[in-house]
Formats: sequence, structure tokens, C-alpha cells
Amino acid sequence: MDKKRIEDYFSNSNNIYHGHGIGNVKKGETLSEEIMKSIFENGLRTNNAQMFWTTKGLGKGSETLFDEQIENFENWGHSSTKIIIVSLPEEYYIFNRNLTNESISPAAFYKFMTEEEATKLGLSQGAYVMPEFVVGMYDSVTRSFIENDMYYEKLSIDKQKELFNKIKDNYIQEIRASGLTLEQHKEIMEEMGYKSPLTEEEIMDAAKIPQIETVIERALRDKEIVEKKIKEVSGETSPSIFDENGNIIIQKYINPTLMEKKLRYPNGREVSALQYIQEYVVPHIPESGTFTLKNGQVISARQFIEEYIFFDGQDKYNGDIEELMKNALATDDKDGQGVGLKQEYGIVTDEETIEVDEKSNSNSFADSLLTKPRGKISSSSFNESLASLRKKDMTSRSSMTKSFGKIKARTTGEKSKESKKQYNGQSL
Amino acid sequence: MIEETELAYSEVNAILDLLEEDFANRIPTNIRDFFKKEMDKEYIPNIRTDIGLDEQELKSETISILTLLQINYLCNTEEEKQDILRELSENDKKRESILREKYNPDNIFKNKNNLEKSESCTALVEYKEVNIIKRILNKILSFFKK
Repeated sequence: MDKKRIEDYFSNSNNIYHGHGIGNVKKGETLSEEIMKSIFENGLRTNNAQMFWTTKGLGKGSETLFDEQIENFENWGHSSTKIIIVSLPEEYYIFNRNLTNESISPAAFYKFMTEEEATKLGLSQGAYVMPEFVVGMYDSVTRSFIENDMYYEKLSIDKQKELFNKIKDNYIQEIRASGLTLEQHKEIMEEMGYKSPLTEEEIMDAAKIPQIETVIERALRDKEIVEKKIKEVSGETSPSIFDENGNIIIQKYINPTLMEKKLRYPNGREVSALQYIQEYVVPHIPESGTFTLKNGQVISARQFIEEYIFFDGQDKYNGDIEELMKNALATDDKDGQGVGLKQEYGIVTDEETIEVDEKSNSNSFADSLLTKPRGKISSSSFNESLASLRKKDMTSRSSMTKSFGKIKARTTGEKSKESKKQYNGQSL
Repeated sequence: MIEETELAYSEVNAILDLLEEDFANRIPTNIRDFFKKEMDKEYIPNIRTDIGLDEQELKSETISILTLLQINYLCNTEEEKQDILRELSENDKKRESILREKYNPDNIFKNKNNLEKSESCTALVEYKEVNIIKRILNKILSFFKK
């Protein structure tokens, strides 16, 4: 396949591209072809319907994206040489006002695979990116690209319409589940300079669509089931690292003195221990809740965090958990349960970093939201614009007296004498 | 019933959340908590950071409260504080003069006279033209009257 043809697969400027490595040459994995076919047909399983835990953001589609990523593909984490490429239309990303990592969700592109369906296919139940958004697989050794015939751009117009009706339904359900109304989400999108994919009419009609359990909700419920099963099998009695919603809450059991520390990401950014563990460590914890060291010793996730993440992880590996795991843990995978889990839980398989690759295209919508904090109002802008507002509104001492009086009345329970006086700079 | 004041508190809270940390930290926590507690929690103001506050639709009460906070905690010098208080006083005077202009009894009376005058000047007088047959008939009748 010529290079131009491969470049075309990365060129849709309305989409955000992600890569997910499969096939670890160092480990002599030969299953990558089988995994690839499974992903093309059934989709890509990721952690809790979130792309950034187990994939690398490549950036927004462009004619040069492939060229920009070649070096990245050739030096992919965990020595993966085969990269599954996912392409998601950016307008269906869901995000909320807080703009934290968890707030930017491609959940509309997910489907939930039940245990029954998964068992038939030899996969794990859970949330999968729909196969229609898997573009194909790039092989960095042969420098070739294998297309996925189910990729949506290759489907007929009718099938694409049908697919995007489903995506719209998912999108509506996920926004509702996030606690925002569609109107509020639309406002947030517009605030960020993006247009909602829903028309006014579709927003009105959405009220008629019944509320159902979303893919994320289902995936979280699924985690609880898995945890129960692990307990049944292992007879485990130690405190659970999952809460009632299926979220990992291991930080609760970690030495509080350690939790007061700041930890550093490989890019030098310092964050609280809690944030580092939640964002960076938790996705690497296998469902068994244990890690196997190089010497074969099995230790709990809590012990691994306290003894390795806080010390060697920071001092020796500069915050790079993947490097730490590569050097500290056994290389044989005892935790993977079928192809699905291999896709996602890859401490000893093929998991990718959650950090957005710094080399990735800076135009990426999702990446920029992940890495850039939301803008702030500076003191000078605040002072200047407030002065201008006062001029327009003709804010006077009497209006200040009223506002001051109301605040005083609410804080003291009655109108104080002071609050009845004309406002003269009295303190609140 | 939606309380305008609570909506204003929501706007104030949203703006305080968007201020640069060092600047916002000058406002005591109990004051910030007050707005958080008293605001309308259903109302999510759409405050943008890429344009000035003066280009956004804010409630008058929001502007007053932000000014209160500015005077109390955000001014760097006493001079800045006094400048704002002076500006508020000037606005008070402007407001008063507008109100006096609008409701002063002399002006109202003056305006009423002007209105009557102009009404009398512009009143229409009905003029009916007598047609030619009527005019001939009147002429004949006038001969008999003589």
C-alpha cells in the first residue's frame, strides 16, 4: 500500500484519532492478528468507556497526521508494533463544565457487550468502541496498513445514517446521565467554540426518548459483578478496592502520610498523590487487585503503590509508571482474561499510557481539553470590565446599599442598622 | 418564584470560580461559601473567559455585588477604593438628575402646556365645499327672500 493511501486514513479533519498497541514483540506474542480481527468485528474494549486510559491521542485528522506520527508508531509503548487506529467525530464528544480528564468522554461511540454475547465470542464483557470507528491497523515493521471494512466511512450512506442515529441516541443518553440538560451541554459546547451536533428540533424531540441505562453506567455495574466473582473465587475477605459504583478507591487504604505528598508525571507536572493515583495508577491496576513482581512474589495493589510508586517510581523512573512496571513486574500475563481483557488490562500485555502524547497534534480537540486548563479571568481584565459594566449600568451607591443590605440580612438573619445606611465602603 | 438575588449570587459564584487563583484567594472563604450556599443551584450561568465581563449579559445586582467585593477585598490601594466610591456617587447624582428631569412637577406642567399649544395649532377645521346646484338654488331662494 502506498504512503499516500495510508495518509488518507488519517486525514479526516472532523475526527480525533487514537492509537492502541497490540502485539508485544519482546514477549513473542503471536496473537495480534487474531486480536486485530476481533477488534475489527467487535470493537475495541477500553476502561469504562474512556479512550484516554488505554490509548494514545494522536491528534486531529489532517493530511500530515500520519507523517507526524510515524516516529511515535515506531517507538510505541510496550514494544507494540501493531497499532489499532480509532477515529471519532469530534462533535459527538461529551464534556462538562469542569473539564477534568474524566469530563471529556467519547461514550457516544461505545456499545456494551453483555456477558452472554462476550462468552460466545470468547471476549470479556464490558464497554467497547464500536467497530465502525476502528479505521484499521498500522504495522510499524512492514509499514503497512490493514483496513477495517466495517469502518463507517466505507459504509453506504443509508448504513451511515443508521449508525449516526444510534450515536445521537447514545449522545443524548450520556449527556442526560451526566446531569446536564441538552441545552446546557449545547451552551457549554458553544462556549468552547463548538457547534452541537443536535438541531433545535432534535433537542426538543429528545424529551420523548426514554431514559435508559447508559454504556458507562452499565460498565460500572459490570465492574461490581466482576469484583463479586473475584471474591467468590478467591474467598477474599480484605477490604474491597472498589466502591459501590465500581470505582477503584484504593487511595483510602494508603498510608495517609504518603497521600500528603506531591507526585510528578513524566512530563514534570506535579500533582497531588490522590490525583496521580486516580488518573495514572488506577487504570493500571488489574482486576485481581494484585501485582506479580519479577521474583514471582504477588503483592497487593496497595503495597505496590506504597512501596514502588511513591519511591522508585518517582526517584528512579521520573514518574513513568510504565517504565517502573516494565522493570519491576513479571512479564507473564496472569491477569488477562481472554482477548477483551488483553485489549484493556495490559500491565503485562499491551496497555498504553494515559498521558496524552506530547508529540501529538496540538490541534486535537480532545487533547487540548485534556492538557490545557480552562482560561481564567485576570485581575486586570476583571477590574477593567467591571468598571465598564458599572458605567453602562450606572451602578450607584443606592444599588450597592440594597445589595449590601440583602447580604447582611441573609448572614445576620435581620436587617442591621449598618445595612440601612447608604453604602460607604462598609465591610461585608 | 425565581429570586433575582439568588440568580445574581449564581453569577457571582461562577465569576469567582473563574478568577485567577491568587486574585480570588483575597476573598475570604466564608464570603465565597455564602454565595455558594445562597445561590440558585439550578441556574448555571454561561460566563465566558475569552471575552470581557462587560460584553456579557450580567444582572445589575451581580455588578453591584462584584463591586462590593472589589471595594472590600480586591482593590490594591485605598485610592482605588475611593475612586470607585466617587464613581458610585457620581452615578447616584446622574441617576437623580435623570429622575428629576423625568418627574419634576414644573417640567411636567411645562410639557403639558406645550402639548396643549401644539394640539391647538394642529387641530383641523372641517371645510365643506357647497356644490353648484345648491349654490344656484340658494341664489334663487335669496330673490324670494328680498
